[in-house]
Amino acid sequence: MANLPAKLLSVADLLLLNEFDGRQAGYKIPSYRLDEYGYDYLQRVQKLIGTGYLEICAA
Amino acid sequence: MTISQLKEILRDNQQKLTGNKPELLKRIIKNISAEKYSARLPKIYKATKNGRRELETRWAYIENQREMYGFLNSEIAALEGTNTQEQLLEKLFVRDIIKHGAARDFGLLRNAYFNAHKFFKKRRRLKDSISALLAAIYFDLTGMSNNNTVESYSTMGYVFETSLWSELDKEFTALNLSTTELMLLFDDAVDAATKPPFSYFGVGTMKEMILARLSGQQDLLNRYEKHRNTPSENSPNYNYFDLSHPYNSAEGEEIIQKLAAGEISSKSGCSAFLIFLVAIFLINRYSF
Repeated sequence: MANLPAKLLSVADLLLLNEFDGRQAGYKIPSYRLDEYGYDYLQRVQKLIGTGYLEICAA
Repeated sequence: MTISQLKEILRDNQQKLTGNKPELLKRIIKNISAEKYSARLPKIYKATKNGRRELETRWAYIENQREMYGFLNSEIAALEGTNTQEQLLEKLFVRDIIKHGAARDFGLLRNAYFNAHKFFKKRRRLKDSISALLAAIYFDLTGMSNNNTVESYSTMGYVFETSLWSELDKEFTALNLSTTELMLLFDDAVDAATKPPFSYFGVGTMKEMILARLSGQQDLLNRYEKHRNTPSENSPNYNYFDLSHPYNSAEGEEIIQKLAAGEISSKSGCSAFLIFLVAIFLINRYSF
C-alpha cells in the first residue's frame, strides 16, 4: 500500500485506526494475524496508541 | 454492562438495588462520583483528536477501501489538497467514466456508473444517484461489454437479475417521481453518456422495458426479442462473436474442415477451439 505524505499515517495505519475506533478494548486480536507487511496486528495498534492517534478509554 | 455489574457498583456504594437497567444507570450517574466506578466500565479504543482529524481529512482512502471503488491510493493522493474528500472522489468517478468510455470498455464504464451511484446514494444526493444508476442500466441493455465487444443475446439473462433493479425501485419510490420524470432522467443520462457503437435496443424500447420491469413484469428479454437489433460478426465498429452458435464463426468452420480433412487431430483441435471460445466468453463477462 502506498504511503501518505511524510509525517502522516500510512494508508494501512489509517484503515487500522478506522477499524479500531469505537471497538471494545477487550477484543482479542489473534496473535497469528499479520498485516500485509508481515507486522503483527497488535503491534501496529500499539504503535497507533504510542504515536497518539488512538487511545483506550471508558466506554 | 450487565444488570448484575451495575448492581455491584450500587451495592459497593450503599445504594438501592431496585429498578430496571435505565433506572440503575440513572442512579449510578446521579448518586456516585465517576472515579468510584470508572475502573469497572468497559474500555474501548477511541481515535484521539489527532486520530479523528486524520480520519476526517483522509476519509476518501477509507471509503475507497470499504466500498471497493478500486482507485489507487496514489490517484487519491494526487488530488488531495485542493479538494474536499467528497469532491476528490467525485473527480475520480468522472475521470473513470471518461477513461472507460474512451477506451470502449463498456463493462468497466457500467461499473464506474454503478460505483458513482453508490457514492451519491451514500451522500444522499438521490437525483445524481438515480441518474448514475440509469446510465448503468442503459449500458447493460445495450449488450456492450469490455474491449468494444457485443455480448451474445443468449448470455444477457443476468441483465434483469442484477441489484440495479431493486436499487432503481427504491430510489424511484424515495424520490416520488412520476414515470414521465423517470424517463426524462433516463433520456438525460443517455444523452450525457458515451455513445456505444451498437445496442440491442433503441432508447424507446429500453424505456418500455424499464417501466415493464418496475411494474414487476418478467421474461423481458424474450418478450422484447422481436424489437432487438442484430449485431454483425463482420462489423468494423465493434467485436462480436456469437457464442450461442460457435460453429457459425469463420474460425469454427475452418477448424471443423481441418478436422474433417485430418489436418489436425480432433483432440488438440477441439481443445484449442474450446479454449479460444471460453477465453473470449470469460474476457467479455468477467474482465471488469
